[in-house]
Amino acid sequence: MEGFRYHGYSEAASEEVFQCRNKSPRDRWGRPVPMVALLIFIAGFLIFCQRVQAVELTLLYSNDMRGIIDPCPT
Amino acid sequence: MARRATFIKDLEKEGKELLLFDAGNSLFKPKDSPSPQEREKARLIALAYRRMGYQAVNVGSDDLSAGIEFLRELKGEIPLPLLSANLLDEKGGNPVFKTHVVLDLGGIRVGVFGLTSDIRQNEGGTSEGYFISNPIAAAKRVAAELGKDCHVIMGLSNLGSFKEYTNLVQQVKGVRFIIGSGGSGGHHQTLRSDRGWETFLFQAYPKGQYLGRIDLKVLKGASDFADLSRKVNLERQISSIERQLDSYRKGTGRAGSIPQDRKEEYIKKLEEFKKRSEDRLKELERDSRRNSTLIGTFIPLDEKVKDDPEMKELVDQFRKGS
Repeated sequence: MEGFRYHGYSEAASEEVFQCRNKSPRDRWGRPVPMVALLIFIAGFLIFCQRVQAVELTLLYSNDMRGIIDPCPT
Repeated sequence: MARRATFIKDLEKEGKELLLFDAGNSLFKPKDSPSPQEREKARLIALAYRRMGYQAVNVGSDDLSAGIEFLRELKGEIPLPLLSANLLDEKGGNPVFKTHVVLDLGGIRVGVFGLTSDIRQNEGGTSEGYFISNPIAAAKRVAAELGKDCHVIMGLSNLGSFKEYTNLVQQVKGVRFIIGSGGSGGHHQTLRSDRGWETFLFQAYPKGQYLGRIDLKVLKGASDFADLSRKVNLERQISSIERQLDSYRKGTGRAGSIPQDRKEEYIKKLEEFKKRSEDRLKELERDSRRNSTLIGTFIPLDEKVKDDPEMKELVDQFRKGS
């Protein structure tokens, strides 16, 4: 089976595109398919990056100081 | 106080993203009728908290010892971030202070709310001008609101008893951390509700001898936390078992005087125990790869921590004046 040859816009090229209808999706969509896959991959990667983005925090807390300003050393 | 300030400043110098909270009962002694001097001391504590950069201070039942008007005036003089979701104005039923605060740190939104114990009210103490509503109902309301857009929800709770904290965890969904006050000892526990969620309860020892510290690594996409503090304990446990096993196998120390058949029995039990500990450690390590993590410690504010000069001066001035 002859593969799809890409032409610039012309009547001949349009005819060839028309003839490509019965070819496999890979051949028919030779250019768009990898582009869509790439976009899906990038979107997935960005979502993944956002999910695994880590922020380090240090929480310090006190309780029951009971009006003491200068506690006895531990 | 001066040591605490030093510790906080040191962490700030290290460039740590800090959260600084107080869970309540900071201003007065329990069941106190504060003297004018004690009220001055409460002012000093509020000022010190402000200078240290506290972002949320829960109103504990003992903080109400001098009455609600005193707290209102104090907040007017020193803009301390006082919180309570269930401390309501007696007339209008509106919250006296903010119920919660949302802090955005590096894109992580941390929602913090306060809860006040109704112990003073129930015991017939003075409660002029305010009313403490049911803390569980208030926690449910505020947690549902914070749950809409916060990655982590924390409660500063003055409920005191372990039984009350368990009840809170059973009934209120979505609160990942509770910092407690009103009890006597230090806690670092994981509480699991019957309905599947998990809450970490922390409470430092009273009177400021220790500062509680939790190091968090928060993943935006993971709301569950693996408690890596357990990792240190498990590693210690495993190395202790290994030492005991070594002693039994070589017959050294006390193991030398134990009959052979009992020795073999002990070795078998220790090996089983070691296997269980290693499995738990592996499970924890697996969890830590896909979840957010925490490590909880208590920092002793002993002589090794130097006084912060600015805070020391503030305290010394108060002493001279009183």
